[in-house]
Amino acid sequence: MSNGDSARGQEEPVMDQKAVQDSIENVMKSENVSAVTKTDLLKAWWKWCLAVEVPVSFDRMQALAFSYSMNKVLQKLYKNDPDELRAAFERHTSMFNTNCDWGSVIHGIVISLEEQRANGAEEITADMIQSIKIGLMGPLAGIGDSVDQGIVATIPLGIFVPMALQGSVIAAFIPGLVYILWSCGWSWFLFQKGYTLGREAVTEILHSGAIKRVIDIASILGIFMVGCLSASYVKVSTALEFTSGGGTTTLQSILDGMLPGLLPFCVVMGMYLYITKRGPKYLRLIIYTMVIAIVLTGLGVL
Amino acid sequence: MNDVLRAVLVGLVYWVSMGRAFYYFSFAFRKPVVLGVVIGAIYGDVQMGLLLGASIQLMYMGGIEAGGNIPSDQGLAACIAIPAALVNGLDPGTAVALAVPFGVLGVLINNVRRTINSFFNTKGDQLVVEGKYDALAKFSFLIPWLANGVLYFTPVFIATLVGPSAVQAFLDVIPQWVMGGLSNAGNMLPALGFALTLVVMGKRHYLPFFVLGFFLYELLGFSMLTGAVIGLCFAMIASLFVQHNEKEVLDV
Repeated sequence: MSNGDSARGQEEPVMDQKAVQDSIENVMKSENVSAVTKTDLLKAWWKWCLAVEVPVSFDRMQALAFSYSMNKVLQKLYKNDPDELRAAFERHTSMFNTNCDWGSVIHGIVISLEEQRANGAEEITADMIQSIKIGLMGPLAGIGDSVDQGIVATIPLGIFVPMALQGSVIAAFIPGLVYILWSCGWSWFLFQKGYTLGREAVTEILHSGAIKRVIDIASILGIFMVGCLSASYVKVSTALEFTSGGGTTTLQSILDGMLPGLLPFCVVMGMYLYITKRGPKYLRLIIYTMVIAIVLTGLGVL
Repeated sequence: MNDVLRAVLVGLVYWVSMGRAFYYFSFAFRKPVVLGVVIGAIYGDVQMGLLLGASIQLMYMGGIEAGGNIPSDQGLAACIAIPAALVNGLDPGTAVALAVPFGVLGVLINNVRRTINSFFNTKGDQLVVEGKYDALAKFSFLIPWLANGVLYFTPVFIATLVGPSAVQAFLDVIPQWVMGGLSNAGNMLPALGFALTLVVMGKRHYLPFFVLGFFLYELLGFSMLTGAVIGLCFAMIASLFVQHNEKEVLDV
């Protein structure tokens, strides 16, 4: 069993053919000793649906819900290897955020990857699992939020709320019922799909020997998407204005002229530098942010 | 039914709707039109509750909670405005006007919840180090859910009990700049999650792709799906060069 994948990182030598062959055989053999049953999958899916938004926090979003869903599966897969088990829990309690029902395809894929890793497929590195999670969560959140909330939740409201206004109690419940049926059905379908697809896709990747390339692509995609998501969710603008010549100019318009999104970008990079330099002191960072925001708002800067 | 019991029930209704246990259900339940029927039943007037709820619902018809960021808390708006309107016999229009500030206030409660939940992350890290995975499971759902319960139940219970006028007076007391500062902080804090993701991925030499993603989105404002397609292309182009370089290195 490999450990310290992240430490080895980019210096990994080009894989030799023999190792790939061995690992394919291992995976093939592991098909027969598959540890994850349908019941395990169903339980993991249900726990995800139950917990998903409950432990959401600013610093790691749905991370704890993800680990809650994986908890029993990981304990089962790595029961003979405490170090690997701990490493698995560490990677699945790190930042995660996606759409609840569309995102469940990621859980399926991750369970299938973890299962193969536990069964000895060393080419499935911790970095690869992490990159696939982060690379998929953004796009799935994007599609999921717009389809679920923009279509499935909104259109039935548009149809039935006018009926409710005329006094129909039943009409009040129909939009919610539509939403519940859709999300339960769709998320369980995707969860299973992720499990079976992940398995086949990964076996195929092992055959082609292109693992490092996939990891690179997933990492770059993930980091690019973090950029897009930061720009979309982090909102900071200054309210300062001053008189120049005849009229008043806002500082924000000057900043926008220089580089749009400069302030939110500085906030993200500032926090990144703080964490890399001072370590992960999240609560302190949150309190600093709140105090700074309130003081700057009070002074009229924000 | 006495007032205290009613306030308890409305507080619990808000917890079920915003506590988010079994997300799909709570998402469907927290629609003002549904809450109107339930709260109407608590106050013995389902038809009036339905009318008030449906009226408030119209205001929140298209609110998308992108990335779990609630633009306005429909649940709190409904759970405070509907009982107040039922008790004081307000018309739906007034109820809607009353609901608006509480919808905004609910966003602050959500931010407080997300801040409190950070504690469970820290606790979770500690439990992973100690290898107490069953305890980790408890701290991932049950305990945060109960903790959130206190946070959600309390304001609605008090607001329903002491009545709308007192609540309005309380809102007037909080200085505007504190409210504004909290909402600015709420807009800044998602940065923490993204900064942490960058740290966790740990590939410092890929940071230019973060900068590229950030400013491309800022300039063009495409959908996340478009972003994924663009990002995938960049990733594949970059990986072509990486492979090319490796071959060259090996040849030499």
